[in-house]
Amino acid sequence: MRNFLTIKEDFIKYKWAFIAGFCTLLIVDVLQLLIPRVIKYAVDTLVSGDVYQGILLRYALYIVLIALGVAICRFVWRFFIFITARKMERNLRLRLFSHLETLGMKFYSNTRVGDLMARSTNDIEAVRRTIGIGFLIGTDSLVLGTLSIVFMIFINLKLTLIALIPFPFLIFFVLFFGKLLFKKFESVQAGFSNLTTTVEENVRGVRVIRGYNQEEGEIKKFLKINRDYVTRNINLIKTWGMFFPLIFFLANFSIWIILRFGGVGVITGTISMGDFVAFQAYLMILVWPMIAIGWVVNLIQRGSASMGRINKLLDTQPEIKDTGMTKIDRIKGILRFRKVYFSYNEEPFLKDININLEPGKKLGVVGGIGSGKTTLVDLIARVYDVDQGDILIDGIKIKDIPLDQLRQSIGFVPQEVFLFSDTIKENIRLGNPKATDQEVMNVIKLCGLEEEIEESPQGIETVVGERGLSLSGGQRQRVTLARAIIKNPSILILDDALSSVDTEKETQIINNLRNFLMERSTIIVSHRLKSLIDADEIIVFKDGEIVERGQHYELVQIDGIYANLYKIQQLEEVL
Amino acid sequence: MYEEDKIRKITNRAIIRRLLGYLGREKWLMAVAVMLTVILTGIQLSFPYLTKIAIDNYILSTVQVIKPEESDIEFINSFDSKALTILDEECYAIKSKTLSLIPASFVDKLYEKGKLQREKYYMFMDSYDEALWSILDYQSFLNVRLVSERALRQLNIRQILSLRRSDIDGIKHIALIFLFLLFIHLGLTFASIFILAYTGQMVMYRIRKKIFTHIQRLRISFFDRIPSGRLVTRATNDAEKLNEFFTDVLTGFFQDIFQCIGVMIVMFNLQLRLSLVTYTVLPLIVLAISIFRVKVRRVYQKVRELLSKMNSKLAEYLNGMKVIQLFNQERETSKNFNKVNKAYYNANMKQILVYGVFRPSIDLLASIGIALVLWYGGREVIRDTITLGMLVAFISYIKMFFDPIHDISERFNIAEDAMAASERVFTLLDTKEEERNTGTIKNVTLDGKIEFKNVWHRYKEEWVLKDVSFIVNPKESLAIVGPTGAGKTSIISLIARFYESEKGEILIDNLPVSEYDLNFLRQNTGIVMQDVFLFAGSIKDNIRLHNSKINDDDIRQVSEYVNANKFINNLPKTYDTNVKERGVRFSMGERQLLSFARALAVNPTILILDEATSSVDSETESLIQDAITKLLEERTSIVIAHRLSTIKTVDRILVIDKGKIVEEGKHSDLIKKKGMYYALYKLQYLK
Repeated sequence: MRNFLTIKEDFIKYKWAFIAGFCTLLIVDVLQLLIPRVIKYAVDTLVSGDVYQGILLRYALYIVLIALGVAICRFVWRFFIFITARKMERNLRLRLFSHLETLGMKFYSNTRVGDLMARSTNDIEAVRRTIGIGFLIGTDSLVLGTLSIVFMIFINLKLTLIALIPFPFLIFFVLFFGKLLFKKFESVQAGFSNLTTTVEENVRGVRVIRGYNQEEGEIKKFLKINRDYVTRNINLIKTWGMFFPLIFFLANFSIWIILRFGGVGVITGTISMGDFVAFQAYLMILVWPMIAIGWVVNLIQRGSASMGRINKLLDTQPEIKDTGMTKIDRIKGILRFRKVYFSYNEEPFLKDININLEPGKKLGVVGGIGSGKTTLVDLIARVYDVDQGDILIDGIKIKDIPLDQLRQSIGFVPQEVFLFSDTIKENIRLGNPKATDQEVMNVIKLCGLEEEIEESPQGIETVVGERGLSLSGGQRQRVTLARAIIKNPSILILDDALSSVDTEKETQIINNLRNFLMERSTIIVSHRLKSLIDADEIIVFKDGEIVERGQHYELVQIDGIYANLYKIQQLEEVL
Repeated sequence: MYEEDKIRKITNRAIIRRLLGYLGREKWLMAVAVMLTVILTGIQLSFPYLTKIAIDNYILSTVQVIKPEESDIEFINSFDSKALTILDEECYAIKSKTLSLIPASFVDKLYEKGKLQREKYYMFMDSYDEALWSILDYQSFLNVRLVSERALRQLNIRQILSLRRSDIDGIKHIALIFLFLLFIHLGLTFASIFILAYTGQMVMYRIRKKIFTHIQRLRISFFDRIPSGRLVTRATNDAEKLNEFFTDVLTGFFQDIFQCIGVMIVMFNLQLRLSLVTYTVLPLIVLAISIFRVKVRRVYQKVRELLSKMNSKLAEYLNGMKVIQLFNQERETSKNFNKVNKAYYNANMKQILVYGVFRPSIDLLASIGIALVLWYGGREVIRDTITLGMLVAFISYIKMFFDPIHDISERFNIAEDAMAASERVFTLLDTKEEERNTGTIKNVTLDGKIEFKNVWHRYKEEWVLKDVSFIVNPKESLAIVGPTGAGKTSIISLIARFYESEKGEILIDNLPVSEYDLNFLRQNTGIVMQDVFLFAGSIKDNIRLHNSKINDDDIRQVSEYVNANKFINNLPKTYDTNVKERGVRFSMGERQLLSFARALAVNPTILILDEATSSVDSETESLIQDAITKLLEERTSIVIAHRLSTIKTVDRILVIDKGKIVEEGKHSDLIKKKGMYYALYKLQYLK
C-alpha cells in the first residue's frame, strides 16, 4: 500500500471526486437494501389481507423510485470513481514518460524497450484498476456486506446466524482458491511463455531449420510444448472450474437454510412471510461482496506490485545532471578534450583523449568497429559523461553549460538513423521547430534531397516511417543530416552519417555544405577515407586510444593503419 | 495484409463455421455440454418453483369455507379433485391455493354470491392432543377443526410445531429435494465447465499445431517480409483469444439464451397474464440492447485503436530517445505523447459513459419488472387469482431473467475480439506461399556436381544475380570472393532452394534442383551460415539438432574433428552446457566451430560455407583454418571466403561483382592474370 504514496498528490487533488463517489456509493448500497424491505411489507400486507385501495401501487412506486435513485447514483458513482481513476492513469503515464525522457543512454542500453512498454501499459493499467475498481469495489462490498447482515439481524438474529453458516466457508474458498488459482495461473503463464519462446526461436532460426531439415523435429518439439501448455491449462481449469459452481452452491445453500428453517419459522410465527422473502433477497445481495473480497484482495496486491515496479523507474536518477549555470550568448564551437577517460563498465573504454578543434576546421575520426569513435562524439553532446578529464567548449567545461544550450549548439547526425513516423517536414523541423517551409526547403536542397522530395506526391508533407513511405537508407541519412543542419549548430558531428549515400551524391552534399561549414567546427566519423582527405586533422582509433593523428598526407606516409585502409578503399573504387 | 488493425473482411458467419470445423472429435463433447447447460438451466429454474410450493402448499396451507352447489363441486373437482374437504352437510373447506387454478370470474362469482368466505383457516384432523384444543379458538366440524391465523398466534412455538407437523414435514421434504438438486447442480456445472474448457483447449491445440506446421512450410521470402513478432503473435496470443470464442462467447451465449428463454417459458406457463404484464418491459430491454450494442462497439473499437496508437507512439519515442534528447525535444515529445494519452483517456471516458448508462438502465428495468409484478400480481393475489408463492417465485424469475442481460455487453466485446483474432489466424493459414516440394528424386547417392546455367535472380525489382554460370565438379572446392552486395549469399541460398531462381537452371548431378525432394536435397547440403544461430538447449542439442540418429559419440567425434572440443571441454558441463545459460557466452569463433560440427554431423555430400568476416583471436583463427581445411576435403564445397588461407586451400576461385562473374580460375592462374583478384590479393584485402 505504501507504494501508492507516489501518487498521493493525485489522491489529494481528486479528493472531492473520491468523496462524492464514495458517498453516492453508500447511498446506492442503502437504497439497494431497501428494495427487499419494500417487498417484505408488500408481502406481509398481502398475507394479512388488510389491503386497502392503492397500497400496492404505492409499494410498486416505491420500488421504481428507489430503483431510479439507485440508477442515478450508480451512474454518478461510476462517473466519479472510474473517470477519476482514468485521470490518474493518464497523469501517471505522462509522468512516467516525462521521467523516462530525463534518463540517459546508460539507462537505455541496460533496459529493454519492451520492459518499459510493459511498465507504462500493463502496470499502469493494474494501478488504475486498483484505484478504480479495487478500492471502491472493496469498500462497496464491505459496506454492502455489513449492511445486509445488519438488515438481516434486524429481522431475526438467530435465523441470520444460521443462514450465514455457509459464508465463512465461502470466504475460505474464495481466499484458498485465490491462492491456488494464482499458482496454477502462473504455471499457465510459464507454459505460454515457453510456447512463445519456441515459436520465436523457430521463426528466427528458420534458415538453419530448413537447411538441416529440422521441420519435423521442430513440429514434434512444438507439439510437446503445445501439449504441455494444454495440460497446464486443464490443471488450472480443474480448480477454476470448481470455483463458481462452489460459490453458487454455497450461496444457494444459504437459500436452502432459509427455505428449511425460515419456512418453519414462518409457520411458528417467528418471522413473517415478508421476512422470509426479504431474507432470500438479502442473501442473494450478500453473495457478491463475498466473491468480491477475495478478488479485490488479489487486485490490490497486483496493483501494488505494479506500482512498486513503476516507482522503481520513477526513482531512477538521471545520470546526466543538468547542473550547468553558465549561459553563453552564442557558442562559437571551440572544442577541447583534455585527458579524457571514459568507461561503460569497469574497463576503461576511451583512454587519454586529447583534441583541439577550432571553428571552421574539420576533424576526421577513423577506426574499426568498437574502437571508440561513436563514444567519442557521444561525449561531446553529453550522451554520456566523462569519467576523468574535461571536455571544454569555448573554454567552458560542458558540464557547466546548460544542457539544452549545449545540445542546441551541436548538430548531431547519429549513426543509427531514427525518423519519427511523421512528415518529412516535421522530422527536419525537429532541429528547429520555428523553421519556415522555405528554410526547410533550403536545407533539403543542401542535403541533395530536392529531387526525391519533388517526386513524392505530397512533397515535404510526405509521411515517413513505419506507417508511411519507406525511404532508402541513403535518403533517411540525408533527412537526418538536414535535421542537424537546420539547427544552425556551432559544432556539426557526422557519425558515419553518409555511409549509405553513394560517393557522387556525397561529394555533391559536401560541396553544398562548404559555405555552411566555414564558421563551424566539424567532426566527421567515417569509413570512407576519401571524405576526410581535406580534414584539418584525422585521428585514428584503436581499442579506445588515438594511435595515429595528423593530416591525410602525413598519415599516408606513416604507412600505418590509416595508410592500409586507404589503399584498400582506393582499390574498391577501381572495382 | 498482416496488419493488426485493419478492417475485417471475412464475415462472422464464415469465421464461426470454420472455427466449428476445429471441434473435431470434441463436437460430441460440445453437444454434451450444451445438453448439460439445458439441464442446469432447468435445475436453476426449479429453485424458485420449489420455494413457491413450500409457501403455497405448506407455509400458507390455508383453507376457506365454501358452500358449493353440485355443479360447483364438479367444476372445482375438474381442476383439483382433492381441493374440497367435507365439513358438514352443506359446507366444504377449499384449499386457498386451488382458487388460483380456477378461472377468476368463477371465483369472483362465488365471493359475490356469498358462497365463498374470505376468512382463511388452517385445517387440522381430530386426532390432536386434547390439551391443546382446550386453549384454542376453533370451529369444529365432522372430521376436522378449523383454526384462524390469529388464534394460532396464541400458541407457543412447541404447540404450533406439533399442531402443524404435516406442513413442517412437507417443508422438510421440499428442502430435501432442493438440497438434492443443489448437489446435482454442483456436479453438473463443474462437468460442463470442464468439458467446455477442455474442448476449447483441444481446439486451440489443433489451431496452434496447424499454424506452426504451416509456418514450417512457408517460403523463406515470406520471413524476409513479415516481422517475426507478428508470426509469433498468431500462434500464441491470437490462438488464445480465439479460445474465448468457445469458452466465453459460444457457451456464454447458449447459457444466457437458455436462461432467458427458459425463464420466459416457465413464467408464461405458470401465469400467462402476470407474465404478459411483466414483459411489457421487454421492448425497452430490446431497445436498450440494440442501441447499446452499436454504441459499445463503436466506442470499444475507438479505445482499442487509440491504445494501439499510443503504444506504437510510446515504442517509437523510447527507441528514438537519443534523438529526442540530442535535439532538446523532450518537452515537445511529451506534449505529443500526451495528445494520444489524452485521446485514449477521452475514448475511455466515452466507454465509461456508455456503460454507465447501460448497466444502471438495465437494473432499473429489472426493478420496474419487479414493481409490476408486485403491483399487478399483488392485486391478483387479493383476488385469489394467483397465490402468494407464485408472486414470490415471479420476483425470483425476473432477477434470473435480467442477470444474463447484464453481462451481455462484455460478451459483445469478447466476441468482437475473438472474431478479429480468428480472422488474423485464418488469413495466415490461407497464405499460399508454401515452399514447392514437387521433386521426387530421393534416396540416391549423389556425386555432388553443381552447375549454374545462366541463372538470374532478384528479391525485389533489381537483379542481384545476372546470368551466372559455373560448374563445381564432385569433390571439388570453390571459393566465391567479391565485395559486399555482389551476390555471393544469393548463390548459396539458391543451391539449398531457400529461394527459387527466376531464370536459368541450377543442376545437381545434371538434374535441376527442383526435381529433387526438398528434404533429400537439404540433407545432402550442409550449410554453415555467417551468423550462427544457437537454439535454446545444450551444446549437444545444438550439434545434433533433432536428428536422433546422431549419438553422443558422433557428436564428440565431429567436435574433435573440427577442433570444437577444446572450448567445449572447458565449459562447466562440457557438452551438456546450456547455451542460453547465464554467464555462458560464445565468441564469434567458437560459434563458428560449433556450426562446423553441426554441419559435419550430418556428413553432407555438398558443403556450403559462409565464412564469418569478423576477426577472431589468433589461436581460434588457426583452429578455424585447420577445421575448414578438413571440412573441404572429401566433398563438394562452395565457400564464401574471407580468409586468404581458405582461398589458398580451395581448388578454384570465382570472383563475383555486382551480380556477375568477373574472373574464374585457380589462385595461381588468377594471380598471373593480374586482374581484379590480383589487386585484391596484393592489397591483402583477403587477410
